[in-house]
Amino acid sequence: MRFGLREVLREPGRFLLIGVAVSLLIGLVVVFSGIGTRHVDDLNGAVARSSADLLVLASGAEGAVQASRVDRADIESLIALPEVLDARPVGEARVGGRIDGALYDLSLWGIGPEGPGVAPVIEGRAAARDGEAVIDVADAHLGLELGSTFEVADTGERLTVVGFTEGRRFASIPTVVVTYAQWERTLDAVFADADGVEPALIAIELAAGHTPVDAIAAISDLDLPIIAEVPEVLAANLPGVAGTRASFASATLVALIAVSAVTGLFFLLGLTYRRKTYEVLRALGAPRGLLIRALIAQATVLVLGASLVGGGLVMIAAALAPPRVPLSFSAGLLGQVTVTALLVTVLSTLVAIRRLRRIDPAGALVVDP
Amino acid sequence: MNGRAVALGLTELWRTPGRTLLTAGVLSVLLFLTLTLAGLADALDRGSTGVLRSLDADIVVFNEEARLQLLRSRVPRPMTLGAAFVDGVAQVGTLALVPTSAETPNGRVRVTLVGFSATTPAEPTTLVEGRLPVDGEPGIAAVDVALRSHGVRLGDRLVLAGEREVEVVGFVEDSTFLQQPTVWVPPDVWARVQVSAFPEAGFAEQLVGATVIRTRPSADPTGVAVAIEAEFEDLQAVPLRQAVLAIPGVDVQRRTFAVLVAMSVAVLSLVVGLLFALLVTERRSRWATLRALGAPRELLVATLLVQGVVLWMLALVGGSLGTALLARVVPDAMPLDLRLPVVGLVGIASLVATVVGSSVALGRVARTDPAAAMSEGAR
Repeated sequence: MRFGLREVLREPGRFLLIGVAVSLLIGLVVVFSGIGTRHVDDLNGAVARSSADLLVLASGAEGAVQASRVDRADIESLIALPEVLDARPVGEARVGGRIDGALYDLSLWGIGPEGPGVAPVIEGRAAARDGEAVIDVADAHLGLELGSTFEVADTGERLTVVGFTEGRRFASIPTVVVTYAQWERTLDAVFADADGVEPALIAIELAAGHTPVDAIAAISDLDLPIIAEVPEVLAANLPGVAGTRASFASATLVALIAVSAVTGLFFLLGLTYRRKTYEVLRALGAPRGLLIRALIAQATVLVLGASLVGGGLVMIAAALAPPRVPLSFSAGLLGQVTVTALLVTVLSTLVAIRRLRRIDPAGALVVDP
Repeated sequence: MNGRAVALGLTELWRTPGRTLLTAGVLSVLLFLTLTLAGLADALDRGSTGVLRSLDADIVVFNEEARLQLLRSRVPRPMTLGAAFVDGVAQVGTLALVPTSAETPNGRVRVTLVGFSATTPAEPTTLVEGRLPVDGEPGIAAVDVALRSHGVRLGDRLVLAGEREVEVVGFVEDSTFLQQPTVWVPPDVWARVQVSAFPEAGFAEQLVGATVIRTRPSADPTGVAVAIEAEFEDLQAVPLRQAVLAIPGVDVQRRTFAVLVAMSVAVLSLVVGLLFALLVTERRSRWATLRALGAPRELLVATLLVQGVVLWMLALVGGSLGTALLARVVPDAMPLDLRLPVVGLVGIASLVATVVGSSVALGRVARTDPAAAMSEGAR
């Protein structure tokens, strides 16, 4: 171990260069994983973390909440099922919002105030009356706090923030939850020439003793143009979610392969260029195990140091990135990436270790041409 | 001397094939990473913006409340007609979008229905097979080629939103919107689907989505956009490029992936620097001998440069093949595509990174003192 570390100290330039390269690669892995997770959360958090047991949407919407409008009369048919304890309408629509003078596209959700689907708040309380709104804590940077107000730009109506949710954004835009009655009123005002407003979803609470599978089958048997899904399943099938997840997972995997390839090459070339030194060491009686342990120690120090630097870089980037870039630092994620990087690095040094084991002490006596 | 440098550089690489392939392999992995990121960014961007890029238009006009969002725009029809009389406007068309579903031979898929006025700037310019529908033609549609993978062929009938049947008479390419294939229909078909899907959206025949404008060749699109906004206070007119940037996610995606691609190019540069530093250390005495035998500094520098370029070329080929292969095997949901312009751009960036990365080593080679290096070698 000490031998390996001394070698690092004797050649700081070489290790610094590879260290910076691996730091950037580990930083990339952390960024890919972090952005991928945040991006998916921003796309579907409001659906994935719904407190409803099941969500019902229009079958013609093909799983897209945005494209779903269900007939409110269907709620009666759903409540009549023995598997269903309660069913409530849930609205979702895009409206304009003016916050601190700036215009934003908002995803306006109408839920509750009672029944399934009501979003739990982490601060303040749920919206219970007209004029009250709950926003996601990720949108607080827009200048919203408990008690502050903002305007629905299309109607001029002002809403007061009474609570914050967490991880419940939708479609990667600021997400606002109001009571269903408030949502209906707002939509009526936005689309003044419309005949009526229909909910996008129906949130269902199952009766005791019934499973989601039973209820989904029973709802399907109703032969209505609706389909029921568990929130997590519906969220995973929302437009863009699978593609985003697969894209960032692939990028993470490729970056990990790059970590492995770069460190593997570094140690292999180092061994090739310094073969004579190792032959002399072996000739002087240094056991193979010592040299192998030194190599593994160097790889470990390299990855740990690179993880620290890479993590620091991500922290700085997350602090400097504008709020709309979904970049955040997570120590847990860095830990996972570090462990994975350590594993792939040790694996990548196997070729170098194999070559180290074959070093012949007699080679020390051979004079290179 | 150039010929000698090339010969010397190639001979050195040829004599150590294992090391050459290993080094090229590692650089290939880094270029594979860079090209995968660039390919993802390109495919995501094109998949979101095709519907606007496929138009031969200069300006897109939205109602102000829509805040440049195509799906939300509801421009009153009289204003569309009025925009045609603004100075500098050559032609006006209407473009309206609604998310819906289509029943294809391989099952139901999500699509974006695009209502467009024929023979106007709202008409897609990327027709590759068949023809486009004309205004007032009932039950006719052109679809994006992406629907071919769902078994759709010319003459097939698609059921939109589970109730409205249309016949496919043409295919357009590169016209997707937010990663979804598009179905192009006359405005009245769009209006009926819109009213049925979103009853609250109002009487769609009087609201035409966005207005698309082609300006006269002598007119400045930005100036015309300002003139339109001055004429109609409830409208927001922007050049097509700005409308593309306003599509949800496009701006952030471009910025995010640009940083990630830049980071992977920086890693490539560092690794090249490291490899060349190791190479120079190993071959210092050999090059000192060459210098002592009369080889000029420039020859050694050129030799190293040749080796760098050859390794870069091998890596670019390896990285491109890897990315192209990945693009073939990944599921349809993952938007990964590798186009020649992307390979070209990444190739240039990586060549610059290779030269920058090897510059320190090149400097060391240029400063090689034959006597000192040979005496080091002797020790």
